[in-house]
Amino acid sequence: MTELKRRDPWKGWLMLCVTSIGFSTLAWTQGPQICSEMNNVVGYKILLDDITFPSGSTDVKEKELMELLNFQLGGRLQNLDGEAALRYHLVRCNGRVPEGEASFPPLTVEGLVNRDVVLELWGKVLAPSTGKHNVLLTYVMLPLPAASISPFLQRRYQPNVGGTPDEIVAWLADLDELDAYAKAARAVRLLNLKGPAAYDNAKADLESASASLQPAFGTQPTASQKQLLAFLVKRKCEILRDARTNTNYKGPLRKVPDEIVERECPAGGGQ
Amino acid sequence: MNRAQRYRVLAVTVVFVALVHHSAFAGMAIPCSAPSMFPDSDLTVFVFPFVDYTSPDSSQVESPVGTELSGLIQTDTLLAIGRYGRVAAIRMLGRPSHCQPQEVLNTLMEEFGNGRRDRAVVMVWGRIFRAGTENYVQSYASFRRFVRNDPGEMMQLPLGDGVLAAQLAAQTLTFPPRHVSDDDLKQIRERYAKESIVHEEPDEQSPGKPLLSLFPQEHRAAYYMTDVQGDWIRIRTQTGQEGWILGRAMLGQRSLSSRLPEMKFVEGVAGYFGFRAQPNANKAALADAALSAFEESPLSATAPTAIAVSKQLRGMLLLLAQNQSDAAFDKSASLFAAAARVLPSNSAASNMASIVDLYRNWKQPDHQVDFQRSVNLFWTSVSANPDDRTPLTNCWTVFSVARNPVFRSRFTFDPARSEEDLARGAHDIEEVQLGGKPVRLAHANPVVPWPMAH
Repeated sequence: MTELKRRDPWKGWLMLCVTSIGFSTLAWTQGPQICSEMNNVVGYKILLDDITFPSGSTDVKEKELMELLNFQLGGRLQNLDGEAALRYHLVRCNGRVPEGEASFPPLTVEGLVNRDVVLELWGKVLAPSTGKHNVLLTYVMLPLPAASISPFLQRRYQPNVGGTPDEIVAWLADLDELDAYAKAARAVRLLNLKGPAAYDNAKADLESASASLQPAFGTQPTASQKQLLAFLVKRKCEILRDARTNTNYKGPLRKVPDEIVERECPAGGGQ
Repeated sequence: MNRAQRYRVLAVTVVFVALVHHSAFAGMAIPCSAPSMFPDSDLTVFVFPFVDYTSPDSSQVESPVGTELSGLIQTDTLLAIGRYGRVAAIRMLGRPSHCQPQEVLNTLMEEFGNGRRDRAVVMVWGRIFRAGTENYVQSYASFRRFVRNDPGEMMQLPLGDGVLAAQLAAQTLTFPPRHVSDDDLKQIRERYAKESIVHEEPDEQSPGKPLLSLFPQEHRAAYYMTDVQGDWIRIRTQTGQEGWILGRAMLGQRSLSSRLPEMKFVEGVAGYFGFRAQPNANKAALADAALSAFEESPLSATAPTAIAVSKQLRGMLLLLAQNQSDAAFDKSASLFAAAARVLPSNSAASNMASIVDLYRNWKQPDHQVDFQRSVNLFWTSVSANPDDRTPLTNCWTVFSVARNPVFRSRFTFDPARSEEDLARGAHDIEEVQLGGKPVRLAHANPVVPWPMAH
């Protein structure tokens, strides 16, 4: 009887875990299209869903653009260097096309986070207008805290219609901010998981993401882009400031001189 | 290929290598499933078949276009790097599943890894995509010393009784997509067929026969080069036959590297390793020219990491070629600073610029070094990537040297710092933990140490 009593709390936890995973899996499988490929990959993952173009469209150039974009994303999102434990892996989710935020209810997000997905992206090549293609890519950074910033970011790209292959290549080559979203999300994920023990890796990721996104967003970023940039700076500065006083953190940021901190995070900025 | 067959390949290669021991540069085509190399080469460039990602099916099989492209790159690379000494370019053949660069490198390391530690390898691989009549190419390159656990290329500069160190911003690079049309590829194919012909004279009209027909085992075409005349290379095969093959591939009126400027980058990296093996001012100039050509290509603008590494390599070559003179430090400092500007969040790039900036002042006996400014430079790098031990160790070195009475007068202190302050500063750094463990404040030992100025 004594032994049974001792086991009871564990049984409760076990039931809770099983139920939670069950709901989470159920929620995921109810999504637009399951991506079972991600279960075969260990470590941090980027899910690359379909890039679609208008149904019924017979525009060969649009289809080519879509396929090229897929090719470019596949090549650009390979994380070739860095620490093996932190490396992220690209997972192709053929046939999956989320329908925006509605496809990411909390349990779905939880399911993705539990599977170490840091970024999911998909896209649409829309009908051209005023001599420009319209390419929309949607990025979901997991798990950016939805209460303070939207994890969804949509980017519109407008390469010229009838551009030469060299112009298309130049446009593709300019999509160099892609892995910045993965790094931003990985930083938040590491901080959520490990707290101060992740400050060093998270700070490096946030610095890198911030340095890539500032030029990519240009001199007139949209409101959501500004919000993301401000979020990155805020988290960087929170790390830098907390590192100096948090006794659980023993890394080098603890010793960074005041003037470096002030330069990176001026008083009133990054708050 | 079973183990016995692999040993047979190895034996053939070793005998051949013994025969060509004094050759300048060599080429070989070999299956990824049984990789081999010329173990005595200072540098070996491995070119893997480019994988065709046009469809899921095409990415599973050896792509004719991708294989031809890699063959062309190997031929062009071999011609370009031949001037750097004992070098080799090996073209790998096989299915994508067999031609994984890291796995091939591991196998090579098992077979040939016990030789000289200063040998270097460059791996080039890539992907292609066919859209209509246009082809898109994306390349990757990685370079390293041919040893297990290579800490990477490193610059080491003396500071008092300590050493400042810096590494390159990256040694594995992703290049932006490039465009090569079907017409270009047709010319590549035609040119390749011509190049594969071994002529009796350096003249396309002279009698010739296909390169592969000179070898008893197809796909194991090993040859070394004895002479270069313009675009023509004189080769001597493993089987003892000699002849001329046409090197530098042309796309229209332009060379392959004008479409794929990363080939210039690879050429420059090869030059760096060739120079480190056997220093020579001409090699440094050639390597600098190749790297400059890469940086100046309009197509390179979207490859910031490669541009930064290129500038760092040029700076390192400049320093070494000019025996680390004051003038060389003055000139190279702008290259290292430019590399740091290109990659503002890269701690290795800013750290290399910082050690050169500090050392330039330090090596002038009548100059004093601003202590606070110096340590702040390193703290900035630490803040960009706290996990990077190198700038942290440099920061600690500056504290340690500054508190040494012998060198104290070499520094200015604003704000004023007592010996106790400096001791506390050094001690604070010693107490830091990285990855949950006490930090080891010692620089890694590069396979080929940075030479002292003489």
